Amino acid sequence: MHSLIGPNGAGKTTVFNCISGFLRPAGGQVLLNGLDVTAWPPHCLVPAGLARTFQITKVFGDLTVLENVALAARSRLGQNLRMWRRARNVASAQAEAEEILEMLGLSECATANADHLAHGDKRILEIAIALALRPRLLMLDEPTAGMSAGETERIGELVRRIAARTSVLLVEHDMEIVLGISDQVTVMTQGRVIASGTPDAISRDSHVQDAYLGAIDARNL
Amino acid sequence: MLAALPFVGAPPFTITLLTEALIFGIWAMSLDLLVGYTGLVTFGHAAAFGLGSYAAGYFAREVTSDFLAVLLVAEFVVVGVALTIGFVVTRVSGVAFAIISLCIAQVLFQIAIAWRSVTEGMDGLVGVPLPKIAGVTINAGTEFYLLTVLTLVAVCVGLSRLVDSSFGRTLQAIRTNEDRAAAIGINVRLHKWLVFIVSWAVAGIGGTLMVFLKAGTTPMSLHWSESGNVLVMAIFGGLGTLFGPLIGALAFVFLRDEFTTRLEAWQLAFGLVFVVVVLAFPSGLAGIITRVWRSLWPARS
Repeated sequence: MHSLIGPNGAGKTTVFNCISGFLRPAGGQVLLNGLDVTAWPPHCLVPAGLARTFQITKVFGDLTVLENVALAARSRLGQNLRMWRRARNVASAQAEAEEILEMLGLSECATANADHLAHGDKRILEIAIALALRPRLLMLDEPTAGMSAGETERIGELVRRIAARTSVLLVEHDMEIVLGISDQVTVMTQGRVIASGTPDAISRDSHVQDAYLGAIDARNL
Repeated sequence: MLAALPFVGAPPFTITLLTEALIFGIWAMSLDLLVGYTGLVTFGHAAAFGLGSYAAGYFAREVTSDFLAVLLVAEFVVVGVALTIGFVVTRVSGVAFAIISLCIAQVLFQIAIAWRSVTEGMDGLVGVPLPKIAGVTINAGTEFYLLTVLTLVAVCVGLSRLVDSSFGRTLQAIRTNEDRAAAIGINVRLHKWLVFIVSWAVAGIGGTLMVFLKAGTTPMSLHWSESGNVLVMAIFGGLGTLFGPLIGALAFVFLRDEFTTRLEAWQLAFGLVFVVVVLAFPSGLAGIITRVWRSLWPARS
């Protein structure tokens, strides 16, 4: 698991959007498993093994929770363009969606509209949708944004479990969560990488302490 | 039930009006695919219907009035045009899509006026013969009404499968959030293009029936005010409910008939009814029906 951290406005989400195809990078290359995917549109990156979540929750509000996940599963199975077969009869996608909801503890609200979920559950549904794409690289954009301490812990635990099986790129501005669960950490401020290394090395790095922690202090004043 | 109406003593005038309403219903349902399901609001859906009418009418008069052959040719023309136009217009969304589709419909309207050797200009296409099926003439009135009901049933079955299919669900995903849809691997542009073509194809079926019902058509069938009417039917009936717009079309045609025969300022009264229904029930007549249904038979669980 690799984390990208930095104070607000550091350019984390911009990097994220360049990798996931929502922005076209002005320079440089994006490589996914050795494949040059620079400026590929988002929908082409999914079959290539990349899935992302959004910092601002973007679940499909007027569909059920189960359908949100099943949509992603059917998409991965290449069912998107089938116009006759009923969606709910794509049994493998339904089963997979139920399994993922079960794993993430969302089974109880499977038939509710996604709009009706509590904020924390919506954040988890974001991850559930991404997991249904069976990514080789899962990109999480501030999964704990706007969550209480208890919920943050729940997400942290979930991310740790996922990271055991999948490569994860985590974007966060909360340094504490990141240092606890990452293998590698990259620190950005003002659009530049200022340090990259293990959590231990990062927490000792003086540049990071100056730039990043300084920025946090400035913000907290 | 619909099919039995002519045999229980409904007067011929009512049957003709009903035929017209059901044809508009096909058209309004095709619009619902774009507006209600995909979130693509268009002010130019008359283009699909009118184009179907012109293609069908011209072919029926000049070559053969065999219903299936005419339908095939009309669909060929409508789908062909939708392929090209759709490819361009579905690159934009929101207001831009609404306006560009309106412009294209107005271009077709102008072509219908100017291309006199084929369309006969402002006079419109006249003298379209009665349709035939396997050599048997389908007479106006009850016979044509039954043909319309049959076509409507086929369209309803097809569309209800479509909106419930994987494709239909991806359309709803696109309506809710395009970015999210793209992030789960949905090719948003391709989906919009395809639904545009399907929607036009279905509207073309309506246009074909209409040209036979009226034995002709005029450039007014392509006019923006017609695009407005079909939007009213769809919204009145309930967007995103598929069958709502069919009910909306029935209500539209019969209310308009009532009001025009009884009132001088019928458009005012008609507009008021529309505003009240839409304000009170954002999900249209379909919303009212579901609510009444639920209160009569509460959901068992």
